[in-house]
Amino acid sequence: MQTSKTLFNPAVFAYTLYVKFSDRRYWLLPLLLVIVPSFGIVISFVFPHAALNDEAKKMIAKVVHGYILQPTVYLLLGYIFISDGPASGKIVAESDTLALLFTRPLTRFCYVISRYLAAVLGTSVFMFAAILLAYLVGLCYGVPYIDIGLLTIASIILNAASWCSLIIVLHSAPPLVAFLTLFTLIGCGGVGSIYSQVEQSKNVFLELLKTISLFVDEWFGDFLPSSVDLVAMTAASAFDTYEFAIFISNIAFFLLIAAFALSCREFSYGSD
Amino acid sequence: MKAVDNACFEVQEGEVFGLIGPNGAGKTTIFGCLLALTQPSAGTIKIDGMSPFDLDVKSQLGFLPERPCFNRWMTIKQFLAYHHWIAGRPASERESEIKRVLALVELDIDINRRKVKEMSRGMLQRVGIAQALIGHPRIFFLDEPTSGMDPLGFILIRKLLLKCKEDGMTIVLNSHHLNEVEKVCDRIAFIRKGKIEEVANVAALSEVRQVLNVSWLAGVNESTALEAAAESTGCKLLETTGETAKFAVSGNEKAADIIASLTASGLRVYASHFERRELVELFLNAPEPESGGGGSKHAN
Repeated sequence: MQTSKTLFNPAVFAYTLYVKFSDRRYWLLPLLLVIVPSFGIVISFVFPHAALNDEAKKMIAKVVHGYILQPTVYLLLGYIFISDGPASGKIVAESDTLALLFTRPLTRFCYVISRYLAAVLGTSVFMFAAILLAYLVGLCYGVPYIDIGLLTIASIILNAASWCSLIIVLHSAPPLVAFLTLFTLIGCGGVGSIYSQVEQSKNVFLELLKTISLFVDEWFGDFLPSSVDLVAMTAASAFDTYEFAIFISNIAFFLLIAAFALSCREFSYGSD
Repeated sequence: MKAVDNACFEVQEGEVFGLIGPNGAGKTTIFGCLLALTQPSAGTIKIDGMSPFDLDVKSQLGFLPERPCFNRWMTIKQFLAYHHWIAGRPASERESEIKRVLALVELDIDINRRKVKEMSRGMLQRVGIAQALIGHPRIFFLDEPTSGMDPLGFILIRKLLLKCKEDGMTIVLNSHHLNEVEKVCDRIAFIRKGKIEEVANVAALSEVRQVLNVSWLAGVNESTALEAAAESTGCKLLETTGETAKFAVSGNEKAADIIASLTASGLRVYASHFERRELVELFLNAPEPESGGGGSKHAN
């Protein structure tokens, strides 16, 4: 009987997913993110231009499709769902709030999983709404190539799962650990990727920084959440199973980190 | 650094148990261990024979934290409904249960629509108590329940705790307001530096708390007479000021014995009366415990 209680909590799921939207302010950012691709299409058609050929229309569809791979969009949506309240600007769960919650019959693992699943579902819904809207707007302007098929939907869900796993780690860990995780994974990984594109510099300090960043990127790069495009992957001659396995294992890895970090947190709700 | 050391106490079912002690005594850490928010590094804690981490135990708990830090974006209704749901109570009872707990803390039902962030400190404390009482918990933990409350709030808390006690709820209370503690608790544990110095029955404590104030005319060697009286009756000599002395006594018999002893020693007693010692005075006069081992978060 207790096993079911320890895996999923409908109250945490529901409150993460929709209850905070009873405050209209929380709609603002998600709605903005929903209209961005459609807005892009509208902009490209409202200004005077020569008649677009099929190639140009396919290019527009490709750009719109690229939206479902953008980490920033998933991170912002995931933040809206997982944070304790975006108005407070805090992603890391407040100790006091959690302390009260964990005096209830709720395990920490259950909290992480319920909150994560709600965020993945919520993020996916908004992302799909964005693509669907872009598809409808595209149809109005004679661009029928925007993909809203099953593979696109699956990609959206997988990408939401990937980037929300990072957000749930930041939410569950103590503030300092959360910051260090973010710094290490995004900072070093990102800088490493950028520096790998840069030609050799004469500046010794920059070269040292590049070496360190590349080293960290080499070691941690594979652990970073990433985006997948199932449409492109299945279109390729051979489906990259290895890359897909890394992608899935990273999600599981981040969820375990989140559950572990939350389990290790000792909650103090006041002072003696 | 020592956060609690070898605290050890038992709480009986249906009693109101007070935990009092100075800042840094370890009260909140003990609460943290009891509520499974902190894992003790040694010792054992059992609630109904089960670990505090057991979900069956948690489903019977209600907890009011010292600082009511709740999700600020929620309305009061959402907040209470959330806790009702997490507590695993049936959805069909939710509305009526929210009304019931709001009535218990004397908050108008209209407050439901207001947000947590719009509430004053005292109101938040009431909401916190309502949250703790939701779902009829059997065990109720309160950390500084009167914190931030006005005198009406004090009375409300007292009434509420006495009602909960009547309903058979087991209550563990941590408070600095010793007079309030005294009015509702059956037993009190004095804690200092992580050690339980004494677990006292409040009814018995009121006997010990009488102080006999005796005045006499100057003349004989008072100190010998006072010490002899204290020794022969077994009552503690609390203080002497000029021709006045105070004894801690546990009843009229002892008071009569002291006066008889002083008179027999040649002291010309001309006045005596009882004084009531405040709980805080008893607490402050308690001897400092010897420092123990270096363990942390021990709780038995």
